[in-house]
Amino acid sequence: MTSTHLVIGPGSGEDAEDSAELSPLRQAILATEGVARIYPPANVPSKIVRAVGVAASSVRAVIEDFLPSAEEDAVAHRSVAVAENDEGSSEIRDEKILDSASSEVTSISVRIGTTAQANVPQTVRAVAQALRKIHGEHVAVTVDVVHI
Amino acid sequence: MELMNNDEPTLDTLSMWLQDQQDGVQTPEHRELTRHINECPSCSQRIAALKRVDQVSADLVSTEVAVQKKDTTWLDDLMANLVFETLAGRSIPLSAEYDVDNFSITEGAILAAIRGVADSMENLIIGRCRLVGDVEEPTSPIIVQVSATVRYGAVIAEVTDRLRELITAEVHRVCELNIEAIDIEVQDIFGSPLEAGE
Ligand SMILES: [Zn+2]
Repeated sequence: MTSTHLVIGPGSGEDAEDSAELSPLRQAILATEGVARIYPPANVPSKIVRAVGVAASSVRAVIEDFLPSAEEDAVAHRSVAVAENDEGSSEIRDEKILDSASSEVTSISVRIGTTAQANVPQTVRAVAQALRKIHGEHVAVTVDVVHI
Repeated sequence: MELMNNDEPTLDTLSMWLQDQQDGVQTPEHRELTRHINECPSCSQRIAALKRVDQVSADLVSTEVAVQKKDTTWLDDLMANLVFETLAGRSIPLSAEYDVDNFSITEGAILAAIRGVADSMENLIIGRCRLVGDVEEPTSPIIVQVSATVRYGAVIAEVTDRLRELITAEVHRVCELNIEAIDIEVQDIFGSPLEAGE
């Protein structure tokens, strides 16, 4: 058994072409009442950032597959990142994401900003519900509110 | 080109960006910084605070020109606290129905929310704002500490009562902290006609 962790970033904007797998998750989050926007992941593991050679701030999706009883350092079996300006190869990478993401996503994390009137605790619970509708009851959701 | 986490723009840079923004500047550097600000919670909170500082000082300039030059200690106080308060700070937990879930809000976001409601008040400017207590522990009693400068002529007790109401409502909107007290320390008066008459 492997586990897959999805980190949802803001993507490349409304009208830009987007990652096939992550964009429905993004849309579900953004459609949740009280959510104003999605922020880029804060702590993308530097190991992975180095591995794919992109800046942390431009990483919009990182997926790590860990082997079952691997030591923490024995790491990233497959790690995939999509850089914003990486048009040429992004589609191939997206297919890989689609592959692993649809089968066994065990956790999803996202950083959000909320609207001026939103009840924040209710909003984060609603985000988790929206993500469970897509990935099932078992998925663990991490939501960090970084802006109001 | 890419702005990294350890290369955060300074307040001066942000202040200049705000000026450029108002002047409609469209350089690549400006656009790059715009992109960073949009994606960086700390910087966008700093920009929001700088805009409010601009607004407050503009109000004062138009109504109390003579006092403006002398009466800037509140502004220094506010600016000195701005950087600290807009850092992400501690991670404050929010309750979840599922054990596997992990919900939180940053201390910086809460302080920005508190500052936002305080800024809606005309007769008061807040300087320092802190959450005192173990905010990372869900039920731990927390004290909100605020320092404020009140406009000359306003009834201090009324202004601070109103501020307390607004902060209470706002904290409940954004998090589940167990607020034990809201301590407001009035440090100064702004817009004094005594100074204006000199
Ligand atoms: Zn920043």
